[in-house]
Amino acid sequence: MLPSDTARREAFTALFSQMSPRLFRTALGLLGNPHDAADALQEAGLKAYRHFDKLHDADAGGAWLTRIVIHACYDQGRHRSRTTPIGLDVEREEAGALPAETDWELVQALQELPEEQRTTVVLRFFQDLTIPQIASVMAVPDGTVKSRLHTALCRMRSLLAANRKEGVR
Amino acid sequence: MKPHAIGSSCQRVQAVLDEALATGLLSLPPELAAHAERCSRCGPEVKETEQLLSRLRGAAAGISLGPVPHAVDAVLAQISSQSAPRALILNEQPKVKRVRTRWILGQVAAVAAVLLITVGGLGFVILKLNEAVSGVKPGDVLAKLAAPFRYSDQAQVEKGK
Repeated sequence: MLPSDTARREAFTALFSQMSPRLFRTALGLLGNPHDAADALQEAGLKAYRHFDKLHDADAGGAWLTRIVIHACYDQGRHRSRTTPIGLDVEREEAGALPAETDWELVQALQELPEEQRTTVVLRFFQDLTIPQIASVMAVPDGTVKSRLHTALCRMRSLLAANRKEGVR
Repeated sequence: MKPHAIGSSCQRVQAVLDEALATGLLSLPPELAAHAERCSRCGPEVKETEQLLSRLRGAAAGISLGPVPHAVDAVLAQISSQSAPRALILNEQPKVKRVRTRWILGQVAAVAAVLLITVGGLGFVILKLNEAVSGVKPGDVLAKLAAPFRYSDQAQVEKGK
């Protein structure tokens, strides 16, 4: 093996290991359950390594990996079975396997949003990115990010308020 | 109190809430917070928005990272068994690559065939039209067109002189 291969693999390992918790949270927010999120993370990791040569700016590594994870999640979401339960249903089915502190009602509400709005919310709150950083990752203007976030949060607020009312009844 | 009167505190609260929903940050000035506490319309909206933003901020911290080490180990194990990224490409997706290459070659061949047929057909039509108008046979036209190629060795000899 060439020394450059070793160096490349070490650089990738460092970046991926460091970013993986944030990437997993992002995947969980986008997909709604930890199993699919772990699969998407794995898929994204392998894909990222295959294309690691294309990453020339080391500082952009985080955004680059995030973009790959987002696309892996989109693919995963499209290919997974329509009958696969997400969020609250998963919690009910496998209560022992999931941590009690995860706000599954919120994660479930996220799944009700269109893909782009959900991604915007997840990047803002699960990755704690700023509006310009989200704009850079999603390759859209800042105004589009704000508009998507506004629409998404309005919808989530309504959904959660409706859930609360149903719970009271 | 009339809710949402023009220029009212309600309207200012709405503007702050809109900004909060667009940025994810809610910062209500004290006078508007006091208004929201009294207002039957603004109060619940402010409360719901605060709760939503607070839950969203807390949600990431509440997610268990249990599956992460396993996923990372699986990726690192797979890449360390390969010598280079190129090896992963070759080993993991040969069928897709081959099928894609074959598909592209097929498309190119189809386009080339269509072009050839079109040019040939057009050439034939033009030669026939020319024959009808000027009486020159297609064979003569082709012979004239081919003349530079046929006598190209002679042209080189003359240039040499």
